[in-house]
Amino acid sequence: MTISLSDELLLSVEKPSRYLGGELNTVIKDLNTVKTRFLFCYPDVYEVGMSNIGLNILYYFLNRREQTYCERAFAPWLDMEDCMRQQGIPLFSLETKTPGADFHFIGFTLQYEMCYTNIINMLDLAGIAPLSKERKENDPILIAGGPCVYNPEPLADIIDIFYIGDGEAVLDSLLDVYEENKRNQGTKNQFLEKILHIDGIYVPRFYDVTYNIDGTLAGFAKNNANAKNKISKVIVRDIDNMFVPKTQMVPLIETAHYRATLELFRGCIRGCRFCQAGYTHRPVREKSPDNLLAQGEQILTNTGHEEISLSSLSTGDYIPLPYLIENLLKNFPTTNLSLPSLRIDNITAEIISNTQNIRRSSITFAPEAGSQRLRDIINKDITEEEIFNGARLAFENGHSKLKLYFMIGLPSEEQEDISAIAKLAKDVLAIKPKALIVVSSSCFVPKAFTPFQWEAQNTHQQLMDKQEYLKQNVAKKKINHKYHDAKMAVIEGVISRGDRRVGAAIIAAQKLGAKFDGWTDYFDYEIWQKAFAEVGIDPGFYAHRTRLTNEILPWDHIDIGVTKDFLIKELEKSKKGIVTKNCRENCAFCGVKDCDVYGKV
Amino acid sequence: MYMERYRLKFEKLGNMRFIGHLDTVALFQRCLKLAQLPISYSKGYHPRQEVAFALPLGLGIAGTGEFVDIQLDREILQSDIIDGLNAHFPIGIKIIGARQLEPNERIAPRIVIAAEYEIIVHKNIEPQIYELLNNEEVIVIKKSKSGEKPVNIRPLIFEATYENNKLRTVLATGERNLKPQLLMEYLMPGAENIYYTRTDILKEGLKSL
Ligand code: SF4
Repeated sequence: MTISLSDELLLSVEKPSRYLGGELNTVIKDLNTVKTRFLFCYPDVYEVGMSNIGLNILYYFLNRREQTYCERAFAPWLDMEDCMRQQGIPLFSLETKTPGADFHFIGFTLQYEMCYTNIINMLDLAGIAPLSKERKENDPILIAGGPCVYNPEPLADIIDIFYIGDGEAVLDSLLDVYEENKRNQGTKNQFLEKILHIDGIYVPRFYDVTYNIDGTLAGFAKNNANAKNKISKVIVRDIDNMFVPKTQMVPLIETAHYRATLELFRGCIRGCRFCQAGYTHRPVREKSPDNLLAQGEQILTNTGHEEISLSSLSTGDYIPLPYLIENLLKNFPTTNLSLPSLRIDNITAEIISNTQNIRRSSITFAPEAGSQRLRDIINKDITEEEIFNGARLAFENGHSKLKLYFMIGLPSEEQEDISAIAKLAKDVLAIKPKALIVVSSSCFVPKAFTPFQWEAQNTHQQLMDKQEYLKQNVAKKKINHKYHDAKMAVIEGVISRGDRRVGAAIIAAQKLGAKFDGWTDYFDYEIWQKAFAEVGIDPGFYAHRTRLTNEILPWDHIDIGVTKDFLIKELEKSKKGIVTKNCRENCAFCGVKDCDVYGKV
Repeated sequence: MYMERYRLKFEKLGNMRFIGHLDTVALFQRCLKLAQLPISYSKGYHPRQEVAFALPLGLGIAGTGEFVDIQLDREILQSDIIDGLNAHFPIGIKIIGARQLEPNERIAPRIVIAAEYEIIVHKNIEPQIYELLNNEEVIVIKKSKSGEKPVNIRPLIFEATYENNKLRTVLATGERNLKPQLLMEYLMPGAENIYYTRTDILKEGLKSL
């Protein structure tokens, strides 16, 4: 069965092309030759999802398997969802317009906790029960991975299989086992048991959680002999020889990042203490620049893109960056370069002057905290002098708009630290009084697998007071202040350190109408309050409580390679304001294996 | 530099009907690049490909006789242009013809005066068409950004014939134009399931481009 959308429906929704498929470089397969059908669901709107590099990689990775067909679905925008519900149209794939429930696998990428209600909503639209125990033998198997997977517990009752780490390193073995199991007419449960030996695979139904009276975890025990006690993250170590798509899908409408993307490296040498990816993605694995140049050429000729973006967690830290930029400009003189994620302390005049010709007129730096004291605490290893130098360099090279990115609500933060943000912005403006400074302040959310995983998050009232204080102090003609929703940050805080019980609140919130929670216009705090009350959860327990370091954490059964002892040491150092040097300068022995970062120049 | 201009005839069908004009332009520019045709660029600070569409096609309407003019830096076999582009277009867009323009021929958007449509309906509207053609004045309310105003659409209808649930009509384009939807709203108020196809774009003498 396939879905057909009437002309009237398509003409009544904003941007019908979100639902059409048929984009350049998408994959068409003969369904008669396909054995395993996989629906890759991106729990956000089409334009956001289509700009995601991970989606593009896994799409071609899965489709390179002849008998596997990976198709796509995105969260339908609100107008489309209304039409679908009215007309009884289920969630469908863009490629063949097949209903979601007809797939063997439904995969979700977990990019951001505030997308979780969209996951439930997409399942609901597909007519699939949210709880794994309520699903039947023939229902699709739900699998999830992505940056938020390191604390999978809030979705543990919903998702059947999590893969922890790089999808390229596990999905082949998983699908091989699936196909073999199917040939042998094995059951779903047999399949789930057979994959337990694969590294990086976590099947939550094979583990039971018990709780103490105070609500903390009492124990986490496997209920299946084949299940591992700890699930270790798997990564692609030989990153130069890993699978890389030769092309990119090109939407028929313009999206946020309408450009070719090159992934320079995975991991980060820095170890900022608030940053989850900085720990979970260790160790740093750099691709060789010549490899990247060849990939860039392939992607540009296959997509016709006119802009190329160099992506990573901290692009200035890529050792051969000058060589790469020089040769990109030489080989593709008409192509614009874009370098997101630059650090203010290691930009150079070459980098700035070579990227200024792109249409984007502003440049963004992230000092994260206003005072040196607080920057030392969070291990954001940059000085005021370096910030001024970086800003001067940007101004001298033609930038007139500078965005400075900060976080509010960091551990031990005092009013002086917030005043320091305002002062820093003023001092940067003084370098070029005609410039425009945008101060953007987001709210700190403690994340699993960071040294701050034990810390209490500020309440939304505290966060709002601080934002207000900053606004009062920073508001000036040439300095704009933008800030993020404090209430949204608290919900994110509850989910990101949540345990299995939080899943019920996510399901309840969706039932009450929560969706697109990451979108300020659609986020509704009241709904979440109601949902927490309904399922009997105290959000403060998850967000605003300081944990003891000997408490069992909901994600303790996941092993990212970095040891808990190391994170505890980092927490203690942070309390004393001691900085940990970046991995190239000094190895801090975080515990991660196969690391060759230290000493590389 | 020696330039060659070509007029390409193409179809826009199926899902591609829902790709708006600007996105269609961007798609053509991208595919011209992907096909590695020696497309000419305009002079100036922001060089643009020399591509001119005859007439934007409304969202949801199929096209079987659409036209676009392109300029190349050198002469190329017409079949190479057609095959090159068709190898890259998504399903639904296809070049179905190409001819080289005479040096003195003006570009398509400058000479268009009318378009031919084929409109499929689910009701016999022969009497309404008969009445329409026999009136000298047909007043409909046209909604625009500046408000609603009555317009006489009769002079904008050049031809209209009806047979077997199919209306074939030629409507004026340009400054005083008539959208087929407005005509149908007059003939069959509130009707749904009408399927529009623009079958040709016409210049003076109601000749195909
Ligand atoms: S092993 Fe040392 S160099 Fe490697 S990531 Fe850990 S701390 Fe950094």
